[in-house]
Amino acid sequence: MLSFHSVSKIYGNYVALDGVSFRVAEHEFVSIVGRSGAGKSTIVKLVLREEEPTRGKISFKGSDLMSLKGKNVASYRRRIGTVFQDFRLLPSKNVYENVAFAMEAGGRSEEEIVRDVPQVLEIVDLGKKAANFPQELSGGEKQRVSLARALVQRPEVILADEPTGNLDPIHTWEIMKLLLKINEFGTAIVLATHDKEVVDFLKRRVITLENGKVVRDEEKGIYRL
Amino acid sequence: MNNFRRIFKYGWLGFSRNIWISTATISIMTLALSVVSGLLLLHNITGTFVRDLEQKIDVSVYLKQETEESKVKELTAALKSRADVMEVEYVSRDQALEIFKNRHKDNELLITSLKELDQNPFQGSLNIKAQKASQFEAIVSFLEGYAGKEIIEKVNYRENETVIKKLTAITSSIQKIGLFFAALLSLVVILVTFNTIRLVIYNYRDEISIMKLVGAGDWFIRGPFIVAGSLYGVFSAILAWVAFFFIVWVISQKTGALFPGTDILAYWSGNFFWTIFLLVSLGVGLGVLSSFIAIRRYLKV
Ligand SMILES: Nc1ncnc2c1ncn2[C@@H]1O[C@H](COP(=O)(O)OP(=O)(O)OP(=O)(O)O)[C@@H](O)[C@H]1O
Ligand SMILES: [Mg+2]
Repeated sequence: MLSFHSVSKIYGNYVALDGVSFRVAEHEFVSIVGRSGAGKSTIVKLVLREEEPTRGKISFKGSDLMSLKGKNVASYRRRIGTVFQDFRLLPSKNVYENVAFAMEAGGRSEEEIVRDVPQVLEIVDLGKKAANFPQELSGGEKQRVSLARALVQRPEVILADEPTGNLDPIHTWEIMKLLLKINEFGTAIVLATHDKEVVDFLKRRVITLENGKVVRDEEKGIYRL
Repeated sequence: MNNFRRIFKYGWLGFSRNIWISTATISIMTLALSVVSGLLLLHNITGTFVRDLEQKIDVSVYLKQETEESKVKELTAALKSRADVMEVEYVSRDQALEIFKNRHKDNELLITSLKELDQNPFQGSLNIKAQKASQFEAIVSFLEGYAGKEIIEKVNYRENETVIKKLTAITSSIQKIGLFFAALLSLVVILVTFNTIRLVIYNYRDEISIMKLVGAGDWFIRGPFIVAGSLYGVFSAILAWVAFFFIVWVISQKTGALFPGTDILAYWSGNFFWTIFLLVSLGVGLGVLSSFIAIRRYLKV
């Protein structure tokens, strides 16, 4: 459903991604691993169309991302749930409103919102923090709000950029179990991480990046750099 | 529409959370709308004033003593058939005598000396009211060229015309100056509002980029700014209207006698709906236009 065809991304004269090609099938669970600076977040940004590829082509369900215009970009983004490495929460909105905003933007009804938002906040164990603002949350809590916001849109793919980077082991395993369950129900998952334990536990496909290049792409891979 | 309601909600939030940034915008907009209100009132005052004066304008035609009634009827009919003539009133010699007697019934000397005359000394007359002040020159020249003009002794008219001409000239130049200021102020309003919205967009740039990334569409992001712009208009219009209500109230206390027949307070509150409608639409128009320009320039999507 998602494919990169020799995609390069060059910032100024720094090559962040260099001829990256891969494909993610529907229902697949793919981990992208690599050292800090290897280009994992860059892939996420390109998929979201936050950045444009310098060369190459990215397509989602057969259509070239760069051919999307205006309104279609927004509705495309709603089909993708993203957990941002830097959370990207709206500072002027509380936890509940942050999660609800994604649904509002998608034109969901008020009934759906009052039904789904508390539920998803319960799932990420933030039921008690619904009225708090982002600046009042710990890093791990913000990360879980970001995850809740991605989940609530019922996306076709979840892009999770270090979703467990700030979490303690207990929360890490809970989130991983959650992602696995969502994947079982049919949502494809692209997980960017450098958590060796998580990757080794998953025993799913692993794409390894090094200096912006794909150096390994293995089914049932393990974390090795 | 869910989205419409939400856009309105976020517009209101943006407006109320940035109320201090918005204050400048609202003040300048209130000022501009007050100038417009002033123009409206001026237009109304001079309008009724001039209409009043015009009502008083008439041409009097004095008829020769021995004029036959039938000739008078002909002239009356000819005048009435003209579009510029509003009203023709015939005062016969007898009526003129009666009016004179009535007016001077306390003056013994006049009444007795009148009785000593063996003949009614008064002339019959036609009082003609024109539709407009500017038209009675035409009426006079019609009378001068009238075929049966031998029955006319004299044509007279009151001199209100020059007053009216002066008044209309003065008010029309006041109105031109007022319009010029209103236009100038509107320009300032657009600049200030534009700048306010630009500032708000700048303050929220990070939030806006996040909103886009979680799939908010163009109008879901832009709409609230348009709503905020129109809210400036609504609030300024209400402020200007209320401010003018008080100004007019104070003025009318003092000048009720100055402009007889023009109760500006009654006018201002009596025309609540259309004056407020005019101010609100002007304010909203300016606000929406400015936020639209700001969005076009600073909210690239
Ligand atoms: N806007 C930018 N301008 C210049 N260089 C950039 C920009 N964004 C990213 N880079 C560079 O591109 C490289 C890849 O960045 P990226 O964020 O994809 O790394 P990452 O694999 O996600 O790392 P981490 O594990 O630390 O999150 C880095 O060297 C980074 O400095
Ligand atoms: Mg990263």
